[in-house]
Amino acid sequence: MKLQFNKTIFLILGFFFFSLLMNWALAGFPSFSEINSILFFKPGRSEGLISPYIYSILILLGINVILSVSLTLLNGFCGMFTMGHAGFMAIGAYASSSAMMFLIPEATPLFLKLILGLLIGGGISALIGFLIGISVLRLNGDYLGMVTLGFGEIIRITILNIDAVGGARGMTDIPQMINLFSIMFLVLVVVLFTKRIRDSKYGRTMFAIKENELATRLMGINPTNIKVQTFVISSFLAGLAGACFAHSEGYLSTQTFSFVKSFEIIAMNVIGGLGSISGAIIGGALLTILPEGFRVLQDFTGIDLRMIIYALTITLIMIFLPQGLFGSKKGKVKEFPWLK
Amino acid sequence: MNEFIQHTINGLSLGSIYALVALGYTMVFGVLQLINFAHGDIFMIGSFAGLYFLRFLSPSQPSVGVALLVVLVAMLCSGLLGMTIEKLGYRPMRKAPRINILITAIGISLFLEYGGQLLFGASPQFFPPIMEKTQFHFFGDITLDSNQVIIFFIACGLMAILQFLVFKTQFGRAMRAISHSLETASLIGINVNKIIRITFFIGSALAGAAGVLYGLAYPKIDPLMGLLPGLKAFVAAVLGGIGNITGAVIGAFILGLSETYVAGYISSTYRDALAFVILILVLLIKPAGILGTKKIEKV
Amino acid sequence: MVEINKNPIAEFKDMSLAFGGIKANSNVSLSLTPGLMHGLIGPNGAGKSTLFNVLTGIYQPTGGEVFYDGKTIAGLASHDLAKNGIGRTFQNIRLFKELTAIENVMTPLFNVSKTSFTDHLFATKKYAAEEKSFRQKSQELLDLMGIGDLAEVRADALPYGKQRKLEIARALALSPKLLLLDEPAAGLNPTETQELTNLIKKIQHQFGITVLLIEHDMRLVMQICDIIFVLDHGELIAQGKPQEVQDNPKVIEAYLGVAE
Repeated sequence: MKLQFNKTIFLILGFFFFSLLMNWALAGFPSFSEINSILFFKPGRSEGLISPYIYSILILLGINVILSVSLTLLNGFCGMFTMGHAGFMAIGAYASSSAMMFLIPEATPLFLKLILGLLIGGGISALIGFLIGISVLRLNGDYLGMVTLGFGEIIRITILNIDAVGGARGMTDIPQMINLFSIMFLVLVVVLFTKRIRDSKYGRTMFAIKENELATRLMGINPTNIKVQTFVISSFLAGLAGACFAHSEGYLSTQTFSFVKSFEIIAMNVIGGLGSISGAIIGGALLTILPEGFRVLQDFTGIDLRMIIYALTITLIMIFLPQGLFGSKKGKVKEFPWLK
Repeated sequence: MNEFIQHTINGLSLGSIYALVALGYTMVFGVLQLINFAHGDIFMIGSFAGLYFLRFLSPSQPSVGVALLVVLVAMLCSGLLGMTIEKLGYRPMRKAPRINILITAIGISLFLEYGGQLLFGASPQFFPPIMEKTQFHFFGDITLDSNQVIIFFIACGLMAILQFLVFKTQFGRAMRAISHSLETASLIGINVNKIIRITFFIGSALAGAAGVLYGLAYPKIDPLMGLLPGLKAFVAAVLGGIGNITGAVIGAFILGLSETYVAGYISSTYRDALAFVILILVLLIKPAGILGTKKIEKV
Repeated sequence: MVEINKNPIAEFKDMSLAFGGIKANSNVSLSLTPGLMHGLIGPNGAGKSTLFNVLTGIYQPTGGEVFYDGKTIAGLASHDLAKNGIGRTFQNIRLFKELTAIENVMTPLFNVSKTSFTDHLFATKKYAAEEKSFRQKSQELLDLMGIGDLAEVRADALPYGKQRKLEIARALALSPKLLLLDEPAAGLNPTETQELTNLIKKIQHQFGITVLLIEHDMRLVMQICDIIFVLDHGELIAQGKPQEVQDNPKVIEAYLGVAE
């Protein structure tokens, strides 16, 4: 079957160049002498249109959006409510960093290194996701949440006890190879990928399983396959996000990947509206920008009010606006028009 | 052998504290099918309430009577807090999907934790010794702290009172009716809201008592202390069969003992992981727990 | 026309199902003749839905055997049976509430899909063609049930009567050979019930399928069923043509409600 030059491929290529352009515009123009500098260029001083601080916030935003969308697949689409998603992020982060620092030979060209790192990070995360997915097949609701919480913590504690990746001190000197271009491109690819899934027979089936697993079974579909596949894809994406995080920050600490992080990702989904891709994006964006806004408050008053306001906001939204910003009540799930 | 007995004593002491917290989880789950994520933090608030009351009292002499008084005050405070959380956080969500309620519970939990940091300061504080500490020695190197004995007996006393309440009173009957079927219970005239409120009060009060006892046993307390013990008590409740009161106690003692054995014989870094491992094993093998029963869904 | 065929499409031989001490079904033996409309009646709690659940693989019988298409169904999973031509509806409606009506009907077509993951990923022509044909087939089924104009409405926004019809449309998506309807007329008023009755008869003739129908509405049952089975306390107490069953003293004794 000949893969014709169809809309999707056109879109992907378009995103590629668009992201490249954005990065240059915002970070300043690089020298065009070698491909590495074009692809990996990051701002040194404030050479571009925005300050390095905002630049790094944008990168973080991208990472959070990928995380949020990855969880939506599991939660909002398939109805599997997990509370250990940060664990997959951690695996991706540490696996990719370890691969890059210990496994991949120095001589490899930069962009190949990055791609390998990301694939390894996502891949190992997907493997663990597969194992966990298989073991929790029979669980749902609160029980699934608690078990995945347990797994998330076990993953974190295990990594904490591996000295080779720094243990309690954290892992440092990770090659920083992620810039705004790569994140933007990845975000757009991930969103497109997820949307495709949603519009496909797989998406329908996932939603069906979420609504009524028994009925799905009686319509001839074995939910097991879909559930495990969703776990694998979701954990791959989370691992990818984790790897991006590692190669953006340059250092890792297991503290980052605790249950609180898992809860943050859940909050992104919930605020945006469960089951909606646009919601996941907005949720991810909001929950990146707002804490930074609170940082100002914190500097002013000297008290860390972020978590309190966070927790309060989530609780209030749950009570008064349970469907989130883009969620559905009785109408169709709301989405950005261009996401259709 | 002596080591084993020592560990057993410590394990029982720890288990009794877990039991008090586990009971709260199980009671609330029984009536509302809700995992009250904030329960561990109510435990923490109880501990601090006890601490501040103690400072306020500033007793000149340590005594068991003072300890009991502190426990009671803490119970009152946490009980009221639990009731408030139920009224403001959970009651409006009675008809909401499970996920939403769980997230609300988590939100409340985090709010209590970080609010606690704000109020009490993030650094740990210390429970002053309020009981005369004597040590009994057996067979050489087995020590039994008088603290441990008192804690154990206070915990057991409270459990006995709960047992009476649940199985021998009108309230208990109503509570058990609701845990079987909320709709039916309300149809036969039970004031469901009132019973749920009281259930929360009692469950939270027990957690508050546990908080004080914990402070007496391990004097260091801080606003984030509720997380781990709360989670472990939850595992204990699940192990025994969530919703089952006797099960919660059994599960708690099993957990307390095994945790102490693991820390003693294997390594203390893995003691916290044990609870998670047990949780996963139980939920994967027999989710109903030791004493739990499977509910058959109508197809 | 009403002879019991030698090659039943489904057969229960001395089937029993016990949950611990509770006997849901005891020694039930009955066979379903291809192409006929069968009714399953009995007082509440007689074990009718349980029979459905055994036939669709939800419960494994604790005694006796069950056959479908000549082969035993012991150990077969629900999704295998559904893929092999058994379609069913449920007593408490089990629609996919967040999906639209047409998406509900399209969902089971997953089983007959010929596209691969990459087709969906890159939205190829093959994917577009398949989605279109699935949509078409589903629309036809919705039209057949008289709810074609509600195709894009979310399932939980549909009125009760239409939801029941949607469930039937969904059950027909995989072109089943045997259709199990669990109280399809529950909660419908007399007009709606009559409309549904005609519809069920029409479907049966149009597709030539075998139907087994649980119902409490005696008029519906007596009107369209060729054979009726009566359960009481988990046992089969009578079977035969509608008139035979109606006059059967055991049946009358089991429950006093006859024609409304």
